[in-house]
Amino acid sequence: MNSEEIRAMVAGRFPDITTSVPRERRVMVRVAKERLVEVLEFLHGQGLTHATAITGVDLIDDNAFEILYHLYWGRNMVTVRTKIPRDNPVIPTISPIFPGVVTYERELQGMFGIRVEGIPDPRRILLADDWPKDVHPLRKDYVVK
Amino acid sequence: MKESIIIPIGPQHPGFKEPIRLDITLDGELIVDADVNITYNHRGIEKAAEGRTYLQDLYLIERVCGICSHSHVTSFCQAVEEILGLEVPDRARYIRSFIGELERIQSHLLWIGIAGHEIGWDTLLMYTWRDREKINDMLELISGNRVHYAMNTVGGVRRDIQPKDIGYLIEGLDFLEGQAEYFRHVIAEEETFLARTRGVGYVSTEMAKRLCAVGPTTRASNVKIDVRADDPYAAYPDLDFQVVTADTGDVWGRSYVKALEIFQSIRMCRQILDELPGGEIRVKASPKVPAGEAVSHYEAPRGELLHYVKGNGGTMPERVKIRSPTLANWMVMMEMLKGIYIADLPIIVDAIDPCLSCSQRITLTDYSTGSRTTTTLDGLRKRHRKQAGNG
Amino acid sequence: MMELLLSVLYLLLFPGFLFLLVMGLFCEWLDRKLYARMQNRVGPPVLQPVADLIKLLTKEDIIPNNADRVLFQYAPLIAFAAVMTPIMAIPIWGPTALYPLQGDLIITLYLLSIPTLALFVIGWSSSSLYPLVGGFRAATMVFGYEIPLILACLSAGIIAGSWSVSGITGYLVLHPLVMLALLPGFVIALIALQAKLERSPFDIPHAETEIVGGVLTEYSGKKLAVMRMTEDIGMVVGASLIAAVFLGGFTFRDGSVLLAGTDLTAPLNFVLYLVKVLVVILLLALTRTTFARLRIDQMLDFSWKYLAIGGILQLFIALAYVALVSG
Repeated sequence: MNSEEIRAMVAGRFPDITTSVPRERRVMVRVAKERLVEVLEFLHGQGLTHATAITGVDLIDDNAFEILYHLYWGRNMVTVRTKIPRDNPVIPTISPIFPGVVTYERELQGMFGIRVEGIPDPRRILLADDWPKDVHPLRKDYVVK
Repeated sequence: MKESIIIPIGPQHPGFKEPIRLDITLDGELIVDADVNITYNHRGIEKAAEGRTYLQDLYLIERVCGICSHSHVTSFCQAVEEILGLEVPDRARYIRSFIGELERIQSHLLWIGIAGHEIGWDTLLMYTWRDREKINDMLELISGNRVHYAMNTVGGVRRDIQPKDIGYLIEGLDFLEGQAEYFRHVIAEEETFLARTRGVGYVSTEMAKRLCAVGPTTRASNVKIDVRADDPYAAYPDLDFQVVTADTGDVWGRSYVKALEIFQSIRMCRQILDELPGGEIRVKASPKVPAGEAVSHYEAPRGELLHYVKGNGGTMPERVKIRSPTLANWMVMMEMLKGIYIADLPIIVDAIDPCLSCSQRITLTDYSTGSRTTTTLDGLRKRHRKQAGNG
Repeated sequence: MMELLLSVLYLLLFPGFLFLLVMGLFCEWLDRKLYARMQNRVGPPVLQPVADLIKLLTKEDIIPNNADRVLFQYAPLIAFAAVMTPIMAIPIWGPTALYPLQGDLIITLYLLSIPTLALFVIGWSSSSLYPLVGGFRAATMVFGYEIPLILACLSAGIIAGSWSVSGITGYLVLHPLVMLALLPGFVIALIALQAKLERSPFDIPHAETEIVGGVLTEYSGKKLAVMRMTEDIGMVVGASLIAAVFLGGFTFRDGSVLLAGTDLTAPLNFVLYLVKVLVVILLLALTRTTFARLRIDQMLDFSWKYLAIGGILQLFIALAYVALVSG
């Protein structure tokens, strides 16, 4: 399937969510947090099994975090993105669908302080053992002096 | 021995080239559980990138890793170029792939040598690293450096391959091909190598897919993904090559895949030199990158690499996300460790070709002095206390 | 009185302590140089082992708090003494050793096992994980190579009708072709010696990439120097034993080489002895370069499938020989 076909398939199944094709082999899907798992389950059911990464972005000016799920499907990169409120950053885990993402969800928790609900392995990753537990370095208000 | 022993392996250990800590639970010589701690090399590169201009980030990102440095910079440049809407000249694309493939050969040879060392066979280490010198020489001829080639810039490459050097490069490729055949033969036939790698660290196709493994590790489990073929970039749309897979799913498979990939890389290098387009090697790029984003995809020697860059109209990026291949393979490595002999541990850890500097990119950079310092535990605490007091 | 003084000189100088020390250092150099050259490297200069030894002797000697002090300190000395003693019973300058005894073959084999036992004791007493695992591995390996080694050596004894090394060498000097019948034993003994010395592919107890420094992890300074010398001398004495038992036929009979009236047999035999030992070292170095390290279970597997069977085969050949000769 090419990117247009993927976009059309997602839009067909979920008419109310935003989809776009920024360039060849790239598909963007924007969902509300509540529908995230449903959309990912759908894609997985269609044969998308490889999750490449999870990016967190601190949109401090909009008081939100944006989370992007980068998925690798055949010849395309499909990015599913969602926004969550910055003062209550909670997102469900997608590890039941993509078991390989636990590393990235752990990273998200540590770097941004986003709570991933249902994460099978909540241990910190990447940050040093004695790094303070409530300091999340990739937040924009953490300034390196 | 009925009770289990927990052996901490690392963070200082002759078997690892970078500090990681594995807590291994042993029953006799068999490992029953494994836990990985990869916090020791974190350098904070993603954060640092946000506070530097795109040009400065080129130098920063090249240093994510020593043996896959070109992969990271190329991937980053591709993302920025996409946001800027730049079209990189053909000659530059070809040169990028040439360096990338030389980097791949060099990385695989290094790995084969390390594999030999891990199983107690230093002779293999000495031979592969000796032959690797040839690639270092070739890269030095083109870029001036043996490591961290600094070939890329946003918009193309900074240095050209001179016509007078092509003869030397072809000779180098011929030499490497002969040596690669020797190493392939050793991996395929040598009894003690086979004894130590066959059936070791087995990962089924299903497990590799489920845990989203990448690179030669997953290709050795018969999962046919390779960004160069699936989502081609640089010169790959024009190059002939095969994606190498194996179906044994063990350390031997990973070794053999890497050995065969060297041949594919040599083949691509020859084709590049043969068909190198003329023209410019770079286009001008504005230091200010408009608001926009791009997802860049690259097949580094260790596997799938992802860069996500977000511009905000300024000279510094809003966000730089780097997901390097080794991070993707940690989960599958932990699975591999369960139920094996401790003697096989180093070779299994190395079989995923861990480039920990790629996976752990966080430490503190001292902005006021412009230098990077590793802080002590106390230093970290002090810094946090100060910041918490101010914030 | 003179006898006593002479004995002391033999013990301390030649072929005792000093000779073994020099020979040990030289053979260590030779092994390292051959290893390096085969790997396309330059290799160390000839005095490197001497420099290493002196350096170790000047370093701080640390004893871990939890270590068993007595065992930790004295095990190396016992190993060192045990590995040097057999040279007295091994022929060096002719078919007869300095102090041959009936049954000195058995005594030699026994004494050469003591260093391995010492390694186990060291692993146990070091109170540290890596030596412990290393010590267990060293002890486990004995179950693989010791019996084939004994079978090979005893076969030579059976053929020669003597349990003395000198007796075997003496017999081989008179019947050099018999060495062909001992060829399987020669190969087995070489492999077993490589395992006994814990060299690749049998360097499992030292596997740095798995268990840091192996058995000797906690050792430093003088004690480490003593253990290193024990290993070097172990190689020399082991090679000497193999040279005497399996290559003994390449020796001139006493008084058989006369040049202008002087009896040059002894010096010439000594030269031959050196050549034989160097050949063994060359073969051991070649083996070290060529193979990857085996896992302990693979080593035991190999030992019982090939070495032990080979040893039994050699035994049958020996018995058949005796039957043919006497019949």
